[in-house]
Amino acid sequence: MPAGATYRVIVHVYDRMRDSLGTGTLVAELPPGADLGKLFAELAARYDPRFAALPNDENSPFGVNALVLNGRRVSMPREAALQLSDGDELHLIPPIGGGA
Amino acid sequence: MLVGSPAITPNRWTVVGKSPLTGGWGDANCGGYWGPMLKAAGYDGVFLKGIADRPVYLFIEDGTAELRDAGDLWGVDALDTELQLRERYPKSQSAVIGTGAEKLSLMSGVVNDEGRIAARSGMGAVMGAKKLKAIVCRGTAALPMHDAARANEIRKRYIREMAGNPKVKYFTKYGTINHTASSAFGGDSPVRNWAGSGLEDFPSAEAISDDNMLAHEYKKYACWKCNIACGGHYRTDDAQFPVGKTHKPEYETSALWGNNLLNDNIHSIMKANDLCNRYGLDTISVGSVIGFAIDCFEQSLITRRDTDGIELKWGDAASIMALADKIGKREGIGDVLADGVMRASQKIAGSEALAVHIGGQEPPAHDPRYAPSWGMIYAADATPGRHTQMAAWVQENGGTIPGIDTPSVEKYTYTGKGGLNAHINNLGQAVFSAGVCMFAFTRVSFSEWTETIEAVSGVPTSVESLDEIGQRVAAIRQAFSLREGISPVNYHIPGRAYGDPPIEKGPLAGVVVDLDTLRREFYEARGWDPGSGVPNTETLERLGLGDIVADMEVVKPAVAAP
Repeated sequence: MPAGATYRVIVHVYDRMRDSLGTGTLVAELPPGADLGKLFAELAARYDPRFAALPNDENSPFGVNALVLNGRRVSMPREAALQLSDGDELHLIPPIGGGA
Repeated sequence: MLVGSPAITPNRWTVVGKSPLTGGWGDANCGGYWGPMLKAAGYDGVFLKGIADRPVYLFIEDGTAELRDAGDLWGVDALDTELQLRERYPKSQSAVIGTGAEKLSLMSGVVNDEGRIAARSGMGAVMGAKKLKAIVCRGTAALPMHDAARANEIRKRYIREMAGNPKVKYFTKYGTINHTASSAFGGDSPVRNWAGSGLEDFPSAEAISDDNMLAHEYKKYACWKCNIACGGHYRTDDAQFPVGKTHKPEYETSALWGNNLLNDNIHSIMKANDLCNRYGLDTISVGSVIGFAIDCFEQSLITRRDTDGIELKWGDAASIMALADKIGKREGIGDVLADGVMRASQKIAGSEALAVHIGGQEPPAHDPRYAPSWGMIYAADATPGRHTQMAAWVQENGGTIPGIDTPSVEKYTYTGKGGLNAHINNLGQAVFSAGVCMFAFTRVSFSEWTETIEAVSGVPTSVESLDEIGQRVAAIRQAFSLREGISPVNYHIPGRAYGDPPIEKGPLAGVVVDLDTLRREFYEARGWDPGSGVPNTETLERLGLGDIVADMEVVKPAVAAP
């Protein structure tokens, strides 16, 4: 990757968060070496301030029950310092507390 | 008690019996219109004993009941049976069985409202064995209530409350189909007969989820007096799998016929829904047993000689549907599979590790490794493998029981959940026994139930009194299973679904469910023996169930902790 290039991280959202944002796929441009915490800060700045703190709560349209990064479960804020790579994909899985 | 009343969702009815699938307490619950009509016909419930010497149906009208000849209906599918009976008895409602139940499939249920099915526990086979094709109800009696005006006022108030809730509005639009894909990608849904991972094995899950499914809805559907209205009527003019009208394929159906079979043909999922409804079969169990069969085929445990020439493949809608039809008819390989995964596995050598069932019943599309309290209740309750049995899975999944204060829980912390699991389960046992819907239980303030039960019955009602009623319901169910020789602690537990061995890929990688700790603490909080699940004598006496103490004394020596 050339110097000064940015990492592109794809974020997939579902359910009411997708409705709120009007799209199911978000793209974050991050500096090389950025971590998961930086990604959420970028999402909050670019898309919606609620990305700064996603509650595990189905009552919130920004509720998130699980985070899946490149197919593996990660957790926030415990893994906020996890380094990201160009092309990473994160899925924000909504709560299903009401049963289905 | 609440069926036919002004409560929120006062329409649920339950079929109860000894389950031929599990050997223990069996029940299956359903919405629609039949339950309220039974009340309007003058009955709270129907007890059936014995076996008819020829096919019959029970006709109930205005306080009278009569068995009538059903010779002309035997062999007719469930949906057509219902339509014929409605033509014969205008303004009636019928609960019927399909031809799958006539052939005693242990995956069969009882159908009303053209495809809403009380599907679990094999209750259709119980009716089939009795040669009882249907129960037809007709009547106009009003439900007697202690204070009807108050009950109606309460209903209006809570409908207003729910109408302002965006979460409820969203559920009205989608119902359960909004998370078929996200559940596959997050780990909630089984994928590839519980051995796969959505993002790796079924990345096209969105093809069968959310708006892609909703696009086939041509009319909204609501059960009787339901203000949530999460249902819908669906159709597709697909050339290969046309469907003129079917109920919305719910999440469970979409997940087990889609994600679990790697099948992204949305038309085939609607067709599967219609086919199962017509045969009167449980889409959870049939989807599961097809996944088991494909797995067996892939691993060469069965071949085309065993499958009547069908080449079974993951994601192949044509072979999946061909197999489903054979199961409905009990033809060839369909006969091997028609009684569910456990019995099919007993007939296919070497298939034990592929057989995902709990105590004989196929689990629903919620993975214990994603929400361990789901796994606990699947393996601790008298009816195994049931996602509608309440527990702390609600909180583990980010949900709430509105109006009930509960502590926040960590999914993968296994200690300290017994009291919460027991409390939530007790409330569910009580409220569901009153005849209302789980989707309302998790979407309206709990005070709706206490206030309405009090208005309808005149009996002072509180969270505490409902908790105690729930304890009583749970103890009776458990004692029944134990008396019949079925001990939940000895259920077969499928390693694949509990992390034994742990899966190496996907979001559930490395998860091992500590079932023993969860179940022990749950039983202990219930006042049951933590090792065996036998209700303690003091507990039974405290609950006014002293009459079953003697039965429990008999079973205690026979129930060994695993």
